[in-house]
Amino acid sequence: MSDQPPVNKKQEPEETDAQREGAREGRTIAQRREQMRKSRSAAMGGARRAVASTLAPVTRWWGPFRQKIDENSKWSLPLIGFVAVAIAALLPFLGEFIELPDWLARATSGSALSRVALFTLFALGLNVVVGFAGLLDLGYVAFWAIGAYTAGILSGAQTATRCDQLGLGNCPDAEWNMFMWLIIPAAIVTATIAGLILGSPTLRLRGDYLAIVTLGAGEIVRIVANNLDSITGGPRGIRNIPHPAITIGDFNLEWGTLLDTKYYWLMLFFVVLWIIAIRMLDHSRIGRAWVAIREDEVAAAAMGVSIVRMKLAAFVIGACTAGVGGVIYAQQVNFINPPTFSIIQSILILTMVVVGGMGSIGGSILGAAIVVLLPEVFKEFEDYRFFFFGAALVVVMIFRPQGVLPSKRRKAELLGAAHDEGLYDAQHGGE
Amino acid sequence: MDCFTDIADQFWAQTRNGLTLGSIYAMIALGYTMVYGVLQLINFAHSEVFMVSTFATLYSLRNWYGVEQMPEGFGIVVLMIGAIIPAMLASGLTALAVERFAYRPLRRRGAPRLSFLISAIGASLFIQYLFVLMDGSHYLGPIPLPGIAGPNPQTVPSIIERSQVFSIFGTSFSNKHLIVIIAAGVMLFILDRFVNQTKLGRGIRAVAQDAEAASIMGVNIDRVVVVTFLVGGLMAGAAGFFYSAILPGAPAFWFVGFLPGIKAFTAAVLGGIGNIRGAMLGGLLLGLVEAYSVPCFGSQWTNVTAFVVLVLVLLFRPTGILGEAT
Amino acid sequence: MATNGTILNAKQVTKQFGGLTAVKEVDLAIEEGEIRGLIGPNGAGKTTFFNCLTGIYAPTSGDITFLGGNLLETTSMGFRTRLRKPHEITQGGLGRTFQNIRLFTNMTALENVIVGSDAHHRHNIFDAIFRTPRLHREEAEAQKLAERMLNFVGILKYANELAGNLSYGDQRRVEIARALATQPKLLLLDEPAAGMNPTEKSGLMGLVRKIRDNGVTVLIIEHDMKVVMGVCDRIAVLDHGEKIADGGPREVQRDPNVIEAYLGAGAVHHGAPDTPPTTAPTEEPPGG
Repeated sequence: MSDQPPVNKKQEPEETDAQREGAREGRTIAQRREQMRKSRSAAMGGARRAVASTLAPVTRWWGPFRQKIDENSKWSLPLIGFVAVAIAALLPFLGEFIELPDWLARATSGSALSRVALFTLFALGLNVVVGFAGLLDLGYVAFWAIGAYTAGILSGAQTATRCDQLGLGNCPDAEWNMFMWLIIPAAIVTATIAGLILGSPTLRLRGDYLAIVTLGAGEIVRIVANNLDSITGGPRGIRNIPHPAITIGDFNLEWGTLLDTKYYWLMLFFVVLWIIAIRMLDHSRIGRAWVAIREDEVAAAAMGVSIVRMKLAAFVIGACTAGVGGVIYAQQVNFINPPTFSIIQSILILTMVVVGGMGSIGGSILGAAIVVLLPEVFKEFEDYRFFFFGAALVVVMIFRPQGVLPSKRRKAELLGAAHDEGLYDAQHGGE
Repeated sequence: MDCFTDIADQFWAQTRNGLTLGSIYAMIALGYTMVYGVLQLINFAHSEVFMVSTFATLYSLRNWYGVEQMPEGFGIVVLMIGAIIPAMLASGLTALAVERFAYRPLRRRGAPRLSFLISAIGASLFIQYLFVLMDGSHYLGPIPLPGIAGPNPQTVPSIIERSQVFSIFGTSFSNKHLIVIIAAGVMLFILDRFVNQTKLGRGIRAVAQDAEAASIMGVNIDRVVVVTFLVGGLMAGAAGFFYSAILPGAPAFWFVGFLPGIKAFTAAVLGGIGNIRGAMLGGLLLGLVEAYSVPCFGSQWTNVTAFVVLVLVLLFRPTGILGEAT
Repeated sequence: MATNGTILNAKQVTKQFGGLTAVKEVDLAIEEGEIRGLIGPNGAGKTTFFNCLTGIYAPTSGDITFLGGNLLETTSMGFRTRLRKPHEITQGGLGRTFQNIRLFTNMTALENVIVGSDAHHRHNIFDAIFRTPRLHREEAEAQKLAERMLNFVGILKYANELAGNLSYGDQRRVEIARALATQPKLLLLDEPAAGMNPTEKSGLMGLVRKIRDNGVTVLIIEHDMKVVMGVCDRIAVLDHGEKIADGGPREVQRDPNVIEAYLGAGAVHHGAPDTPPTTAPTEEPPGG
């Protein structure tokens, strides 16, 4: 048991006194900073541990459950999806079976649920743009407006309204006919065109600039809708947009006014379609390209990914989603005018995506539910909702940027150090 | 074309309007450009920093000084100083709060830029609706919110009676216009001196050029950031004062910051984001472009004009007219 | 290996950043099937030249032909010429790796390589949503190609590991596999041996030869002389932006200009053929 002599360390070159002094000072500053960071993260850690321990029984069950789902995803996911959709579709009937407290009755009313479904669709669309492709679009409401106005104009309601406005007599109201289901693909076309027009020049811009430009664009669409009276009805909007119906031979299914629960099921139908479509996109080169672009644009381009085309694809998909939602919205509420499509809606939808979980489909659904239903449930605090959501955005970005229901990948990206130009490093052009 | 004759007819009137409004944009733009220079970040909440000062102005004029009628002579100057100071302070404090609570935790973590943007939007929303709720009937937990704002616009007492100072070719330039334009010029001058000739200013420029090197050289980055936000806020505060108390017709309103904010940002980009003189140039230029578009397209399209300018600049000369140097 | 002609011909390529000329009138020809080296002291302009080849920088002057066509420009709408973007250059057959390994760290190794294979996939949104035969075909191909490439570089066993969790040497291999998945005719390797120990380096040299033997021409920028001299057929030497030598390893080692560039004028007299300086990071000129 002889002591091995320690390995010879390499001789350090002589340090000067000044260097030692500076190093010491540097060390103490660094130490102090490290201490502060540790104590702060200790406090945070304590809080986090407390929350984690109360949720422990749930989390212990969730992990293995999630794994089982992943392993058998071929049939487990469709099964879960089916069950979820069935439950969702039956929610409006909850009140028939059990006595509902006020807040739950409000939350599961047909109108509340159809709003949740509508905004879920919007959130899914914006999630593709923000969560998948990493583009901050603050003018999303513009595409909603385009879909709604497409419905208003193509259904003939605009002509009728204009006729009224101009005081010409004998203005027939627009009447529903089965061809009006074609307005939905028509809105997809108009939204696509709008998305291409807005996206092509702007998607090359960096994040901040893109955000402001889209913000401006959203406002522009609203201003244009407000000013072009002859096409959009101007500030007075379009009235009497016909409610949808399915009439084949003797079979007649009509959607009534605003509160008709059937709108919920119609929206739910589209939500399900969209979820499936988005998952399909995930499993293709387009979905992969989005992840690659988010991770490292330069490397993605060097591997043959056309950045602009992929970003444009995401943008257009988001636009179409909002467009379709806009059509059904217009047909449900019957009357649209420019003030509806204000920037606060874009921000609300963004809140849904962020709070729910950027890049995760479940997150978008949850986010929409939270943002729409929370003010319903806490009706007395309804006035405070925007104030609260603004704070929620800040808090979420600071403490849980991946949102409530994160996608695993996004979580890693958002919590880790930035891969894109971090705040102090503006140049990566050389590589 | 009709357009050109229309512009020619109204040339001096629109030039005057453009320079005046442009000066306001310039003052707000200074805040955007400075924060961008130091953090490479667009401070979305800056429009709310501006908005806050309109209420501070309203409050001081109405509640402290009880101004219903405009004072005479020297009293005006005293009143102006008395009102602009709380306005600037209110904005400065708001800017500091935004930095401290919405940005700094993210900076510490090295969060990606998207996080900052979203946090800024949240802060913006938060401040806006805080003011909406301040109508005297809402509470923040147990604390009643003061009733100084609320959802409706409130007119701010105008503290100067408009009187013509001189006229060019039949267009009258009033004291109001001149005060705003001159004030902006003075602000820019002071800021320029500050940035170029003080230690703090040098620190700001160092961080703007190369933050890592600056911190190795001993510059306290946090302090520089705080000072930058503060100065930008003070400038926006002054702009808010002039906007609401001097210029005719502008109210104190929770949403009042939105459009001037976007336009000021456009101005900052136009002049060269990160460049202080650029912000001034961009502000005046944008104001003029907007003003000249009025005889052509009508005043309901001015916002579209500003937006078009923004898109064009970003597409064809993203570094702006004067480039990105501080 | 029979060389069938020049696949890349760079003529008088110059790149200026403001007042600084980073690359000056460099000619470089690459024959099909060879392993070409590009060396030079720090700041010589190697990476800048590299980036000119891959579309990240546009050369100030000079032209580059690749596989018989203009590498850098393309006609748009039939008549307008514009600069080719990096992804188009890659799709055209020029693959690359990066000096500081830019993998998609939150993807698995396999997913990384599949992204590379996507360079030649054509399925679009419609195909993806409606699961057309084209999509199924391309997805199956992608999987097979990616697995083949990972196997080729020797790390198939890590296919489902997150790329960020792999060792440095393995990450390098994934990056090479990913670049190979883009099915390049010419593969550009930017300092692939950086940070490797001697065992890893000889493994790398073997891999490079294997790549060439499978029909891919290779251009390597490297600082490590053993690697360069050991694996390259022909070597071009840059110094201060200009090409100062071009030839086989023996020639280049003995070339007085090269020795002077690396070791200073004094060394020429004492003849120190292969004692290059240590591998310090290259300086990037500003801009880009």
